[in-house]
Amino acid sequence: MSIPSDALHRLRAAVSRLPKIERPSSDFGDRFSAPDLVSLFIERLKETRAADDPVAPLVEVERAEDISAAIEARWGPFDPATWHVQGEPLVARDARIGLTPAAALIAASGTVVIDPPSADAGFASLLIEHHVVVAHVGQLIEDVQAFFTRLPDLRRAGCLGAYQVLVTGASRTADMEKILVIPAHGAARLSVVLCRMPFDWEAVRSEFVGRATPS
Amino acid sequence: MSQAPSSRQDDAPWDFRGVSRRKLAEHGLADKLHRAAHTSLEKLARTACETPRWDELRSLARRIRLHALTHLDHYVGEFSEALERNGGAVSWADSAADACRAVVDLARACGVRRVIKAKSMVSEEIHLNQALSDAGIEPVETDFGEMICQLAGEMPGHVTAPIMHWSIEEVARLLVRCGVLDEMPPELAGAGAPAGRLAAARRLVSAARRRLRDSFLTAEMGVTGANFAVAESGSLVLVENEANIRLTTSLPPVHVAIVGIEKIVARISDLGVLLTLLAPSATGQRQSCYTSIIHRPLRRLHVVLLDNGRSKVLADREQFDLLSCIRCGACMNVCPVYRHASGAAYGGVYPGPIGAVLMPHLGGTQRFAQLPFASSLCGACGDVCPVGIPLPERLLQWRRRLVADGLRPAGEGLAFAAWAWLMQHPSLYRAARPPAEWIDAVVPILPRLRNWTIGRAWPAAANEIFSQRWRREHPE
Repeated sequence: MSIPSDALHRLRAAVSRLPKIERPSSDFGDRFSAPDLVSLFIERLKETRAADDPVAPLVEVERAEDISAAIEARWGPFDPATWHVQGEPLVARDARIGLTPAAALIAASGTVVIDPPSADAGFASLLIEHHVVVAHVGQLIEDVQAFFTRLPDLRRAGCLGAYQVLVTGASRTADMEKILVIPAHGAARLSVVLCRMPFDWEAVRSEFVGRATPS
Repeated sequence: MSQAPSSRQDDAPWDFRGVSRRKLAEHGLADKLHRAAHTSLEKLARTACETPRWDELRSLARRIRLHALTHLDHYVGEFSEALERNGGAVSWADSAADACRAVVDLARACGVRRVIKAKSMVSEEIHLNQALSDAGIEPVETDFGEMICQLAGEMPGHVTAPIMHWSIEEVARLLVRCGVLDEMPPELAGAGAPAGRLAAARRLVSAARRRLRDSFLTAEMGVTGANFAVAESGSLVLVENEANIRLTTSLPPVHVAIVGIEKIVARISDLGVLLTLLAPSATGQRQSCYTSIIHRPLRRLHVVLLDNGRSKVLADREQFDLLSCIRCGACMNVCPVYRHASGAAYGGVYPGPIGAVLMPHLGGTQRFAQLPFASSLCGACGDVCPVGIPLPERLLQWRRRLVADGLRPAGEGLAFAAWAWLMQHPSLYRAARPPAEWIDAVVPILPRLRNWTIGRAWPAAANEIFSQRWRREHPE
């Protein structure tokens, strides 16, 4: 226990003078609702982009087996010199494209939740110019409140790891005169490959990487 | 460009009146602040409108924060046990000096020569950069605005927009002077059309990115604050736009997070409400670009829990809710005093309305005794606060306390006593009221009012006071 006892006594004395406020329920009732979460997510994702960005933020595919081909058709084949792919060994250097799976999508804010298994795996969404996220429509959640209401259960079920990042658009700063500048220190662009069907990330990764590896 | 107070506090009373007068005379300052604040406030209004039950969320957020504060003795223990269980280390700092010592000692033990820092108001509060420099360790600020403040030797002027009071030209000149930029961006020559200003801003940010890349990749320690710390899971939550916090937490082998004890919330599920409110209130975004939720250490993690006067605020039954602030800066954006006087006028690390009530607690009542009077009590800060802190009430409470403690000028007390006496003697009050013609004649030549009346028409005084008119119109 690293809190010194005199500090704890001080806190107890302070708190004992206060009226006790009960914690509101975890379920905060009605939340954001939209008839079509896919359309809402796409609309809000687009709104996170720079006005002059010519690249479409979303690629839609029907089946899991189409994902690799769609990525390759759009952004070229895997090249270990210029790509960071989550699951491949990564070192701390800048890459052109980073490819990661999504852990969830949040419709109301156009947010992608990623769950890198380690700090190094996080480079695939960080030390890159363009972050490409692979997701499926079943991962859509209404809003941030709904995500955090579900997060404890997801963690208990072992679905999520040491850290998650809610990614809403590319890195940016508006520190000067509120003029939006993209990028700041992270990715300059975020794109989502949205699959209608669930997929196995390991299968997608090995297929995509394998397509470019001469046998 | 404003020159901020020295980063070291001393005990002399802070002269808000004097400094704010100088700030008011600074050409273009209020213009820059108003433009930036209005941009954020317009976006906040839009985002709040599209978010269902915005005001209900604010009252939920207040209850979530007050629950954590009124059980803080329990949650501090729960958080530190959970964090240690997850593999992190926790130390406690009673004071700013203790916190700096903990960070410096750890840096020395790890052989650290360079520390990269993400934007953290609490590290400004404890003057960590000075402590690191004194120990021969180089602190490198990585948030764009904080980097500018560090290069300029200034304190940040706003909790979420540190260089809100700077123009692009001023930033560019500084970067050229410091060798970060070879020359002034050509787009800034001439009138500076919006597209040109965007291109210039891109050049400056790109230069900062290039300059800091090497620091990110070679620093041996990263220092951050935290927006929230979750008791049940020992998780840290860090919110940002630039990705410098992500780089700071994931690249160096050691991550130190300095966390004010008031940042603790009870449960992960509490974060949904708080994070729905934070980004819109700060910048008008629906969500900031990156919200990192670190449950288990990414590298070696050391959390310094900081008291530094917070337990004293917690013991204040009237004002403990000041600790529920989530540092969005919305109260600064709406405050007419802040938008004219700027953050530097407040003299403390936390400016604006929240600073005006918090700094007398954290930085010394005598030193910051003028701040609670630096408000028009228009109420905008209380209306906008996402966690519903009744800031105007807190300002008034401070005024009462400072008057009771004799911390106001004697002349002010005499004037109010005379006024109170006059108001209790209505017949005298009615008789003491000069004729309207006298008022109209004297006002334009009074020294204090002359400047005001140069460009404005003074409204003609009525021939009778309200009570006389009431009697005339209601003779019964």
